[in-house]
Amino acid sequence: MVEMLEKSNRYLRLRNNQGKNVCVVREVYRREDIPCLSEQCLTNCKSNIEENTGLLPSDVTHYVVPDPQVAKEFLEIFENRKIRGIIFTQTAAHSIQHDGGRRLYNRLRTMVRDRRQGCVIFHNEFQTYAYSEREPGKSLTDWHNSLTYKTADWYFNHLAASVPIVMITKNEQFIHDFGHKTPNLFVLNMKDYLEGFWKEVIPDVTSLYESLSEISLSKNKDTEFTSYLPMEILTNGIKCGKYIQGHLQVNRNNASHEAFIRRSKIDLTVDSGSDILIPGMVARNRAVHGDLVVIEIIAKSDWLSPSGNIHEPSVEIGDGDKIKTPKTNTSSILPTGKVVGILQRNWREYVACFSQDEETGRGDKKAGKVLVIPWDYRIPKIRISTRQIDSLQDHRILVRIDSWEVDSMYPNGHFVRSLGKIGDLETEVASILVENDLRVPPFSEAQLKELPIDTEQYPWKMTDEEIECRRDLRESHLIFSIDPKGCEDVDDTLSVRRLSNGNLELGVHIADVTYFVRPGSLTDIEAQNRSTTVYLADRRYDMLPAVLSSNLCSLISGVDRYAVSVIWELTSDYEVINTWYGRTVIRSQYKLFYELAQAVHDGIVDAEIVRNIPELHNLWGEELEIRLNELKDSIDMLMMVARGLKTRRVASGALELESVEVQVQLSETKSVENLNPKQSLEIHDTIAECMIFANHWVAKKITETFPNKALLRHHPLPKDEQFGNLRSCAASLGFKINTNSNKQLAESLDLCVDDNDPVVNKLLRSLATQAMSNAAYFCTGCLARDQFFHYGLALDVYTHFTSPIRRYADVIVHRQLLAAVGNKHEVKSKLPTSTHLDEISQHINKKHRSSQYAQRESQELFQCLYFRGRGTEDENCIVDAVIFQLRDNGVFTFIPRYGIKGPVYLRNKDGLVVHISNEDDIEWTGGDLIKHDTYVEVNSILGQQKYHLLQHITVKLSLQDSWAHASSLRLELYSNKPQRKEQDSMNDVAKQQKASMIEEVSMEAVEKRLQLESYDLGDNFTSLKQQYGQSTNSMYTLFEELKENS
Amino acid sequence: MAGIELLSDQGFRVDGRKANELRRIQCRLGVFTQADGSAYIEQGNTKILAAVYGPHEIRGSRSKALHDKVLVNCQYSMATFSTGERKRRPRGDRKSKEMTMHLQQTFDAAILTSLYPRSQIDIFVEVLQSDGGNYCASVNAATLALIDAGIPLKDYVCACSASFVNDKPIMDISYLEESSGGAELIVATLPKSEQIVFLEMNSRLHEDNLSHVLDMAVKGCKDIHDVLDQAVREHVGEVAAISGLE
Repeated sequence: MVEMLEKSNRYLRLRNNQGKNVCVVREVYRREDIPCLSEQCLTNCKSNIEENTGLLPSDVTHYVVPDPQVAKEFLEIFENRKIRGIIFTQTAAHSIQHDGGRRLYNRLRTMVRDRRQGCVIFHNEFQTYAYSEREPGKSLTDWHNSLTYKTADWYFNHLAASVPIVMITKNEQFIHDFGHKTPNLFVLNMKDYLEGFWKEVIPDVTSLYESLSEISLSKNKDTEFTSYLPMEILTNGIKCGKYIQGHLQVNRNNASHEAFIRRSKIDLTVDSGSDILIPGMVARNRAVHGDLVVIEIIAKSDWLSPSGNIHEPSVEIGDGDKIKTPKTNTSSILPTGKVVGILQRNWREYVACFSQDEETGRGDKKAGKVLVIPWDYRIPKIRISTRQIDSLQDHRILVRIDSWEVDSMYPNGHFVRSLGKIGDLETEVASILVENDLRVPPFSEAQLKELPIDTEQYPWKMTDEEIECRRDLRESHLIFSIDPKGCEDVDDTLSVRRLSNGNLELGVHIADVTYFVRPGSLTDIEAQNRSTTVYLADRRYDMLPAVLSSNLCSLISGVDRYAVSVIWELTSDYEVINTWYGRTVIRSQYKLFYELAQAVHDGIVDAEIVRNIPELHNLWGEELEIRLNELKDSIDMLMMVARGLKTRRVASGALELESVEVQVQLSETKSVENLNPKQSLEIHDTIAECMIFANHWVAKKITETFPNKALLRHHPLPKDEQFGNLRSCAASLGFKINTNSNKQLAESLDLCVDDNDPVVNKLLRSLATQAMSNAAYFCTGCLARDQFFHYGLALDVYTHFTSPIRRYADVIVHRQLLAAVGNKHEVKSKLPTSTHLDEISQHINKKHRSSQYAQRESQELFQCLYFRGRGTEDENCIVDAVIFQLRDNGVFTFIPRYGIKGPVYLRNKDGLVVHISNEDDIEWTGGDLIKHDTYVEVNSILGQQKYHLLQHITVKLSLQDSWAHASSLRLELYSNKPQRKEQDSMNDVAKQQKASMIEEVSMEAVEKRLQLESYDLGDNFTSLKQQYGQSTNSMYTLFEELKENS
Repeated sequence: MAGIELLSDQGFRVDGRKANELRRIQCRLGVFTQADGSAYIEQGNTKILAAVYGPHEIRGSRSKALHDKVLVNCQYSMATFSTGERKRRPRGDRKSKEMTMHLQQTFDAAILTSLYPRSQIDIFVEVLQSDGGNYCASVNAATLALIDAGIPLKDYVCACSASFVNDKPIMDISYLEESSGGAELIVATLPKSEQIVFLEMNSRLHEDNLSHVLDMAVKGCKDIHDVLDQAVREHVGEVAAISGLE
């Protein structure tokens, strides 16, 4: 083995930590058996590498080898999924790491690791025949070129000329010299390559190429920014406390003037209370929202206070370069700082559009430079170069920031692709997805190939061996599911029975997703990428392909399914004596929905039950009687057990925090779209309690077995200062909120009931929820033991186990649980290690958060579409609102009818304040506004008026259309008296209203589409839309049909 | 150059070796004529000279003599030109002193000391070029020199280092891998009996992984033994031919 290696030395000049140049010699061993990683390889040289790396696919027309310079500058083009079969030389990878920085290098690495991408890094510097020494006097780029060519040549010979190889370089001389040396081994420049090979397949690619190639040529004039300090000064400064690092958070409502650094707990010292204010664009010094920056605190005499005004968010960033000196209100002064360096940029792709008014839009038409306005208010305008302004004028486009030179007012970026016309529903939804970093392409063919097939022709069957090694519950247990009506992906079922010894046996049976989704499979990688099913207002994007999520893993009634079960034996006072975990085979007997189950419990007539349960339709007489009683008993017993468990949980020092729990329940009971009118039935609680119970016990088990690498979910203590608004609201009605512990908080919230006003309690609870920290997944190895608890549920350990179809975390927990109980299929070594799991959990948390944001934004979008076109006199637009927060120029209100929160201005932009006369006429006059603890006082020449916290007022809703950003709703004061008409059923109406609103709007959108000739979608648009929405008719079934036809 | 990748996805290290491959070893015995035994070894870019004198009478103060076994006296020094930046002090600094002690302990355990009571064996080790694994190469060189001097040993003493990167043990680590801050396990064994005469560990390593890393290091020692044994046999053959014994 040693003999075939060839040793040589490499001489490098490096700079040591004192800044001196040092000569370093490193040895390099070269060998002949470097794997080529091609599926096409004849010599089978890939046999000695590990499985986990991607391979060059055999079904491409050619392989492409970019030289280091091309790889660095056009990596983004190669990231396109359609371009496959890319060979990056090790030399290119090193040069990307060295010159392109860590982010670029990480992008390369994720590309290589993603097997769908079909690209590899070839260790050309270790391969004897693909390497040549750099001769003295040869320039670095020449050497890189010749190395790349040698690699291409090697590949060509190694694969016995079976695949054409294309080398890409910028060096025209080189192309000339080597381009025609060997047939089928091409040397091209990037432009010719793209035009020759990809123009047909990826139409956008040439424009992306142009904008990328132009950014390297641009330079600009002077501004007030200062250059960043060198890295070692920054790191030393942070260590000795002179500088502070943190993520820059721009205030969405006042983007050009206010940004904050939120400090982590570690560097909170005594004198440095809270957040640090970064006022204005100059102090922000080219940092963009989300960047990890280093700041220096300025002299205390220059500290400022953040403004208490409500701002319209449409203030243009970058135009106001002088800060308006805010009225310094000495009490709320914050430490103020300025950015002196940036540790890490967190630039991503931004949705943007061209400015509407021509003049600012195209400042410099000759150079093709245009400013675009990002959708996100917090991001400054971006300068891009494109020649397609005319065709893209009314489109939303994707833009990436490339650099922000010290002498430039705006960052430089480039155009990536267009999302579609502004105002189209699909465009706006796509924008929401991009802005939240959610990617939901249809599942690829390769992924679907891995999955089992279940069509009418080839029905999927269970294998006997598999049934053999599972516990069979099909005959022994009565299993049923309770879900919202019309639910497709049933992932949990329940069973309950009384054992012969008088004890109770409760079983929770969860769909066995891990049986179908093997770790490391393409489906698994994709599911991990997505991490969660994304529910938008009118559609959903599944985490798993439909064949799993709504078929093989869905525990529908009357079919045999694989499951993972947790079965407890409980004494009559609900003490757990025995727990069993493991894989089972089940057959759910009934698929119930909440309302029905509750009705059964409340005792409706039998005929009604039979009518609602299709499973009972074909039964008569005595058998029906028996089955009915069985079912009734089970439901009653289940509710009893759940009640018992809940009281135990509450009694054992625990608490009940309604508002938080409602949120948890929403996810636990997987209401498909939580817009369904959701009356709070006891059965909701029952199911939630059973799921919490199962999650808790599973968490216990995996923490025990894997103390260092179990995936749990925790809900940290809320920060006390977050409760400020809640306290003052409650105080205005004379209530006192005690936030010392979760129990006391819950109790004091229970007391805050105003008999005349049911909204008060709801609003206070929602404020309490706002004050909470977010629950998050974590890996046990990475957190202290005393941080594991779940504040909202008051449990010591908690995890998510019950919805593996919708959440990736549950999939991991399933694997861990099965490994913990020693299931032979789950080998322990395949579980992710502690550090890996930590990365995964952070990824999942991020995706969860962004899917929630996306859901909320899509609901707001639909709200806006609903109000578009409704006149101001429409009765739907004049509604009751409750004041819950006070500001210097207005109040924040909550509209119970639509569940919307928003600002109401009492002083307009011209400085006039509002006065409402006795006849409810609104007048704007001169005057001033004084904010007190519990009310705002409006003093004008017409008299004095007060607005108290929790006071009801009437507001008028109207749509504030926006070109560049998301449209929003404007709330205007209509009257300072409550509008009380539909007081009684307000809460339910809110939800119903939302659901019907969305329905109406999507109908309208569809109709509009059908009318437009240009789209030419014809009659099958609805079915196309369904495919896009992945709801019923997925790509999978489409492929299956194609397969059958061929 | 932040975050250099010590082990690539395809299983190659920075210098092109795989995880279980040694650096190239080249060695010669009998490089000096004046010493009783001497050897030169190259492990990759680490180059070491070793010379052995003795057994002979105790030099210096008699009080150091041991009545039941031989006194093993070691000296480890690094040439000023052995590292990238010129070293100030070739010997006598803390590191060298510690290394001297370690060598002494190692060979105390491997030499059949009871055969030469009240006498002394000197082992001098000079590092000419250092590129990681100085201790290992020193032990290997000293073993060869002792064999050249004809001093009875229990077995060859072979030393090898190992580290743990990306959940995988790697053998015979170079300076770059040493200085990346990962765990470093150094072990010296008697390869035939697999007895460990010396073990040192730097930085932290989870105990679950210790056995993998140790196995890797011991395997490295065996591989080194094969190389050294072959070199010794060749050398003996040559010497025999010259002295006309064949």
